[in-house]
Amino acid sequence: MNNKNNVSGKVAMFGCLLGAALILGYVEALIPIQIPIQGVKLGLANGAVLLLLYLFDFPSALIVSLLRIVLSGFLFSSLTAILYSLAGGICSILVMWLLKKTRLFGVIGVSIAGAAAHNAGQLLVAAAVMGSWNIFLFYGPVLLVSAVITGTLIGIAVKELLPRLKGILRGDKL
Amino acid sequence: MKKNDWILAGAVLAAALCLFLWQRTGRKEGSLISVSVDGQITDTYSLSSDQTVLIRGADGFCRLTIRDGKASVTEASCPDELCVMQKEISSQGETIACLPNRILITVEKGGESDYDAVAQ
Repeated sequence: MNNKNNVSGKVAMFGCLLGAALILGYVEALIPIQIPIQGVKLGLANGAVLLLLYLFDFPSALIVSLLRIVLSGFLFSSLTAILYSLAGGICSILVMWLLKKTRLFGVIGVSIAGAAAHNAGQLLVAAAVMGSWNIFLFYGPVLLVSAVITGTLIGIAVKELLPRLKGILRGDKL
Repeated sequence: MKKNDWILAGAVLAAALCLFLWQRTGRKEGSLISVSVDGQITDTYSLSSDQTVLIRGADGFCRLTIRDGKASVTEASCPDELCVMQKEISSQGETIACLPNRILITVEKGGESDYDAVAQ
């Protein structure tokens, strides 16, 4: 990716990851294990955003993340859902970007922080919409614990994928 | 995993524990259920009388059932029905939220102070 001529490779990778993020978010909803708490989910789509953050830069990851949220919102859910997703998505990507910049944390740490920020952002919007801070106390603990678990899983996946995708971008054969 | 990653995971878990303990301390049984839609309290119901009520929200409805001093949502119009899957609530401050319908069901202390809540 240091090669400036590889614009087409970059565009292709953007498209692939946007498509992947979009469909992963949908596939995730089909997983039959339902946890009876709003907001607890694996966050596969966040994995794609994390990949972009590490493969390219903050603007690329932000653009793909916003596109994914708006597209999946209109395709699969409602306007309200877009509001929640945007709050979560923006919090998450900002925190992941900042933590990555500090160079203190590995991919898994950044992923956990992103998941926690995502859930915190959604809770903030929920608390604002509902006009009640109770929601923070009652959903916060579960959502934070789940963020550590899902964040770790996604982090491991991204850590494994990164060297392979970097290879593809460099033009290595698969 | 880097050492810092572990510290970060630990910090998030510690934050969760703090919130949990804060929520647990001073938890008492409530006697009143307040229902709010879009942040406005629309109705209150006594936990001591068994009843079923239909709550109209922003996009649909959910059915609140009060039975044996505990409240739960037994039916909802939203596709995921996450509110239906939540366990019954009876302690002060406990909440069931139905985000698509913007319905919030909260257990209140009841007694004298519930008049303030209703008057708001």
